[in-house]
Amino acid sequence: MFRVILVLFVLPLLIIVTSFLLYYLSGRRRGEDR
Amino acid sequence: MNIYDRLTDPVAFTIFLFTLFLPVLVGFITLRRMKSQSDFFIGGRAMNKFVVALSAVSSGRSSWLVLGVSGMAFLRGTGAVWAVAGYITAEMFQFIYIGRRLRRQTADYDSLTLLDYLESRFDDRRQLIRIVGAVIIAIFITAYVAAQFVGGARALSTALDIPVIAALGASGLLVLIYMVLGGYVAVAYNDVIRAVILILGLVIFPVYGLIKIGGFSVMIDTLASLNPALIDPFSLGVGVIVGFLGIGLGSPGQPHIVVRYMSIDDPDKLRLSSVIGTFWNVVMGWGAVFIGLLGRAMIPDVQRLPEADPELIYLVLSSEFFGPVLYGLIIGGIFAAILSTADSQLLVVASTFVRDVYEKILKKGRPITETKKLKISRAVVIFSGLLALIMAYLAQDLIFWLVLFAWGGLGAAFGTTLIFSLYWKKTTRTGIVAGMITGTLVIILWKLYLSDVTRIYELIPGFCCAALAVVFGSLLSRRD
Repeated sequence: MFRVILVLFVLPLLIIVTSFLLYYLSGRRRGEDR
Repeated sequence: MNIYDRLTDPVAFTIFLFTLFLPVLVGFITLRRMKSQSDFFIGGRAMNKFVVALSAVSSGRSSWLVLGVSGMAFLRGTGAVWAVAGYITAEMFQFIYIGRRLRRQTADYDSLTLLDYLESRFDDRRQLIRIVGAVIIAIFITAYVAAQFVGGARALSTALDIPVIAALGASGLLVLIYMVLGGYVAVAYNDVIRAVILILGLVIFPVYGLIKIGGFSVMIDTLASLNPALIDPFSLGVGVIVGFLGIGLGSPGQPHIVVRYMSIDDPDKLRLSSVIGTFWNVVMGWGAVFIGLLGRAMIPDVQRLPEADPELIYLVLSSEFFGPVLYGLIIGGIFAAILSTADSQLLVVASTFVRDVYEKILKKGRPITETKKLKISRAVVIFSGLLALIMAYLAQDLIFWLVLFAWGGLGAAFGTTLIFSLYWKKTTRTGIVAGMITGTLVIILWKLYLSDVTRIYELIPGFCCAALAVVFGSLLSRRD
């Protein structure tokens, strides 16, 4: 059951949280990535 | 059992027709925005971040998501999540780390297509990159579009009980009308509408299904009693899981996906597009997995599905559970998914013909007025659409053979070269051409001769070999 919950609920949440993290992290380097 | 039987209900049929014809209305609304070739192919680099986000994730998915992934979850259980986790993660990074740079550089070079960009980036006056790239795009994407048309037409033919050729003509005509009217803008806004229709089905369905079956734990217990491997996400084995995750390697090389990034009004807004797109991708991907799992728990025997085809589980469940409005919307949503990929790819084929072949290779970049360019672009959309339709009707075996290599071939040929062109300053024109050719060849050869033996998904070796070819090609030709 633990594995099922991990892939069906935790994994998608983790991906969404990572996208928010990337949003903030990529903002710091704004203008430097040319 | 005909899963389309319920389309005889007038409400369901009206809703279904509405989803089919709505894109044409969008075509008329967006017509006034078409003033130049840049508007026609990349929305004049003025697209909104929400539209770019939803369009990028919707045009990338096709019917593979709603039918293929739910069918995979039905057959293989929770392990199907790996098939969606790979591309979702890849695209999340892609919006920011490929999209932003590509949008900036394509604006600097005034590039309308991926090949336009690569040629300018490497100052390729002999146009080798453009020629090789155009051949790869012409083969794979035209086959891709034709295959989407075939898939859509077969389903439409069954749904409306009309001959396949009539269904093929009808779906082709629908797509061509709004594409000629509103070009990329119409395609992108239609993608948004389709993303909303798709997500409605993919969210309402699992919630409704879980309530009906008695909750999440009942679903899991039922699946475990059928076969414990269904609830073990790692039961597929490392090779298959890596292969599923490897699907994501194909995303950066799909010209119809990366052109979305080029169309945004401000490159920094791609950061937010990444969040929106990822959220949408996750909900759609996991929604499809949940539908497959619920379907298996409700109908354990695959023989009870029409033609014993697990990919029809989504349609079977919607036909059994939903009222006419949702049913009509869901059936319409399947066509929406098919057409949203077909139109985006058709636009790539047309832009390759007009910009890469006609303007740059045949006309050698001689000036042409914007009005004439726009006229030619529209004519080429009709021409390439008809070409794809004729292929769809006459050469189905060839198309499906070519499509086997399309996602991987484009991913290996353009994904690696694009990443190197953006991030490795030592990359040269020779390296790019070597990468494109190597990537395509390795994908085809691996798929034909080594896939079954090694059980390794061809995109993984294809991507790695293309990367090596770019590196060696570039290092050996530094004086280019």
